[in-house]
Amino acid sequence: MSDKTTKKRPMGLKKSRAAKAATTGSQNKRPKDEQSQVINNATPAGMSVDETTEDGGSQLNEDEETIVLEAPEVEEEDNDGQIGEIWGIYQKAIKAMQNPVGISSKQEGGGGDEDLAIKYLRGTIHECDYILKSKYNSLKQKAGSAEGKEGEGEVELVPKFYYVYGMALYTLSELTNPEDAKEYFELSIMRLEQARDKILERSAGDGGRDGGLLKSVYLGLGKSTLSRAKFVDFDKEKEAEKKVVELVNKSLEYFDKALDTETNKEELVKESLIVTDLVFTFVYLFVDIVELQLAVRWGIKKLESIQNGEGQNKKAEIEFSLGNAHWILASHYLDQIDEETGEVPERNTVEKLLTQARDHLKKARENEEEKKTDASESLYDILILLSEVYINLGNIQPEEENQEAEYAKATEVLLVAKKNLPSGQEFPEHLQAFIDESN
Amino acid sequence: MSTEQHQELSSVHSCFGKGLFTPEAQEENIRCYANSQPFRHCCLRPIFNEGLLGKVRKELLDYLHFTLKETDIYKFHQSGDLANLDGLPDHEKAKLQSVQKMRDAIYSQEFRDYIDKITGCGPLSGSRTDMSANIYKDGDHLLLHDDAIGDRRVSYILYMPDPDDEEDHGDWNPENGGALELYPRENKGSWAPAVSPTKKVPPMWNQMAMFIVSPGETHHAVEEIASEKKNKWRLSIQGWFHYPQPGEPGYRVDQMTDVGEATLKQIEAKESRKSGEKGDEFVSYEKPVESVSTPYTQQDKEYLAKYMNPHYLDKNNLATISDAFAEESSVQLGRFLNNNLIEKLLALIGDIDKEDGMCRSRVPSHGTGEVGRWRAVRSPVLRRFLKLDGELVSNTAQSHNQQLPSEVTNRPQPYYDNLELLSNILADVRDNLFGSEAYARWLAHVSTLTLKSRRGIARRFRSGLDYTLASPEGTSGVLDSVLCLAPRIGADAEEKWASGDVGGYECYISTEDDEDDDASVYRHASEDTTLLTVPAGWNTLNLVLRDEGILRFVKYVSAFAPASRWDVAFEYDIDSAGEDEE
Repeated sequence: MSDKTTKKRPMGLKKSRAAKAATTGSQNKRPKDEQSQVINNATPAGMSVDETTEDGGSQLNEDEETIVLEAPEVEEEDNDGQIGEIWGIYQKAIKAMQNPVGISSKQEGGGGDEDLAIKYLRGTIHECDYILKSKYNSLKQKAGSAEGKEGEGEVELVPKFYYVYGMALYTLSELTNPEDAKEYFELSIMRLEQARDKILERSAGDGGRDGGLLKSVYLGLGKSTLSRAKFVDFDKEKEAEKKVVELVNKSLEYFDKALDTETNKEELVKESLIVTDLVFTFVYLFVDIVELQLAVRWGIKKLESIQNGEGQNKKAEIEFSLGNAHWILASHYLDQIDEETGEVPERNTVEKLLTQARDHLKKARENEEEKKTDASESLYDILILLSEVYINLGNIQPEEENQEAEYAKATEVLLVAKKNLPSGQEFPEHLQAFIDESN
Repeated sequence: MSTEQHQELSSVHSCFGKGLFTPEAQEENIRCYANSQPFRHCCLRPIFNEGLLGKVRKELLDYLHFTLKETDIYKFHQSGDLANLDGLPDHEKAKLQSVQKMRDAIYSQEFRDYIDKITGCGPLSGSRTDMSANIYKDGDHLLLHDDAIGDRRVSYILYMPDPDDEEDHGDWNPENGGALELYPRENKGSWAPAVSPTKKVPPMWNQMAMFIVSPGETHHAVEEIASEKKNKWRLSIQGWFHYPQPGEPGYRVDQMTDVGEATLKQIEAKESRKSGEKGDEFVSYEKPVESVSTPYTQQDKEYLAKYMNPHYLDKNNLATISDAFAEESSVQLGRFLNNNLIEKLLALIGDIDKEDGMCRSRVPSHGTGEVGRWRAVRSPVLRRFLKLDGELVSNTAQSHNQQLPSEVTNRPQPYYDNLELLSNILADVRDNLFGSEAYARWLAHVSTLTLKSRRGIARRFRSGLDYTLASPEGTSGVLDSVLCLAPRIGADAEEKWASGDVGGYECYISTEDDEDDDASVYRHASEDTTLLTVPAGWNTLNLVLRDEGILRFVKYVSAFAPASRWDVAFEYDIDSAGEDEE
């Protein structure tokens, strides 16, 4: 069937408004009076509908319905729009995922359309390859094929191109976990390093006009490097443990650079939370307590640096992350409890870490409860971790009385957690058993 | 004269300024009126007793409520009808005693006779009073009109700006705008006013401006109030004397047709206005363009890529746009031109607007920007803006042998170079993008409509000067394609454009289909008929399918706007056959 017969035809402004008024029962709106629906930054993959409440202002966009479809922003040097196109496809992938993979362990599996995201990511990589090849071929043609240059050595593309390429490779690997993930992450690191070098080449070292992009590149490098660490093969790679440490330290350096360039305090708080959460999900890879401590302490330092900054609406999240950091450190020792004798290595250290974790989590709970939201998934997470801390504090108490006191606190917290159980989730069996036993 | 009559006369005279009724003053006013240009008018000052006027001002400000009125043709704050004071409850009437006294003096036999002596207007009605108080604040304006409605005979405006304004030493500073602008006719044989005024009457304290209402002749406007220091405002009373009503002395059944010339002018004006609304001729395509037999091709994509954002060339992306357009019959596309083109345009437009003083919160001089290929478009009865490659004759300097102020004509050479460069780019976009068959195929693909012909122009709406009034523009069943280039220069520029407070937005309103409706009626259309308002944006394409009974206008661009609104406005005549198939 042709377009003409299958596509809906516009009726004309007056008729379409009349039809709408008939279906909604509304009359033509007075200008500057009513709330309206404005569609911004729409791409075929998804339109974001921004329904703003009239606040007394007289925004024309809040009058009659005005639909604004925005093309993606295009690089200045992107005269043929190719970079804009791949950026657009990459953005579609990000939107399709809803929750960017690897940003937060809590968010993984958050219900995004992963299949669609994978499709777009493959499309982005395909387009990037195509652009590189066609640029290379055109360069070769200009230089004369007799010279027989190979590779992409002289192809010059804008930093954003390498950034998108690198991030698409990273995100696709995180989503699909392919057999050759290690190679994918290495390729991703290579592209992101190219993006970084291009930016630094054309600025005095601070990114200049690409400052925002440079920060994103460093964040991407940190993530990719961290993910690469996950795929160190302890059986095949020489000095595997040393390699892991190197990679993680490298990624921390990248994260430092990303956060150091952030001047917006609110953004800094947001990004610090994301980055530290990311690091904490990887530190379980460390066997050596010194390395683990270095990474976690790095995270704690970052979190403490934003504790008194702006963005206090994130207070609960910061306290939760700090509690989590101390819990991770404590867990390292708790995992080494002698199951037969029950002996706790470094008992004093563990108790101190658990106490610190408890104090941070209690603050997180207070802050979250102050928000007075009806159902809070964050509060549930805080309470569950706090109960774990109380239980473990109880476990390491030599005196039964003290032990029972900690258990009682754990029970009390668990009962509140149950009340805040997010819909669609089930209360963990072992925690239910703990409550039952306490009663 | 009896004692009673003498007392009454003396009471009326006491309301007016000293000496107004002396033979010398009367002679002087007659002489001024007879020699005035561009049409007969006079300014009487001091018109009223200072004490009375001060009280009137106080009563108006203390006891009246002023409501913001805004349409395509005006924006100001207006009181209720002061003519109906007699109908007010006693306690309210008591608060407006001075206003009532002044009204009675204005419509007294003595003053009506006085006006007749000066203007030769003949007898005026004493029973039909018609006046209201207006406050013009920053951004307020009243665009060009001739006041010819019903049996109005004489128009008057009484100015009452703050007499104690320390900043301006008690007098209104003409740089703050707010003047009464008087427009000459283009030429003796024309109904149409010239594109710019030749006389400005500043709103001085205790001054009354007046003229005989003459259809197609007494074209005047109130300049926008615009001052860099802001919060300037002026109070005035606007009113009309009407022809005598039945039963009044001087009433004649044929008093309106008595001025046969005026009636003829009215008819001519209406006809000419209709022809003015028609605009340029449409240029047909070789054959109608539609998405099946003349599909949008890869070649078109490559051709359009020279101008358009590549995002909008991809067929997958177009599907979304097409769906949105089918649903709403309108859609706005952001970042429409590609980066290469838009960067150049931004730099050039920014420089030109800055040089022309578009961003200074001051009403610029008439004639600003009317250089090179940019020509003023007449008639200001319907519109005023600059058109790229328009008729040279309509420019302010050419149309009335007017000497333009030096600040308009003396520009550094780079200004002219930039303007030429900008003109070339916009002409290229106009002719080779929007005028092209490739764009027509793209548009047919997006809209699913069949396009028969097109016409379009590149325009500049200068802040503080330009507008279009609500008009059907001669046709319906048309697809509008308007690329808006309203630069975001200065702080909060985007917000200013988006709010609509600085005008520049395009508005579509609905009206009942009636062949006999006069355009002036549309201009007072109720807000309830608004169908769509599109704020001025930077690099946005606005597509609207205009069906029957729709008027549109670009709201007057205020002097407070961040820049001029530049656009390339095209209309595509569509084949309406089969429109109801769905």
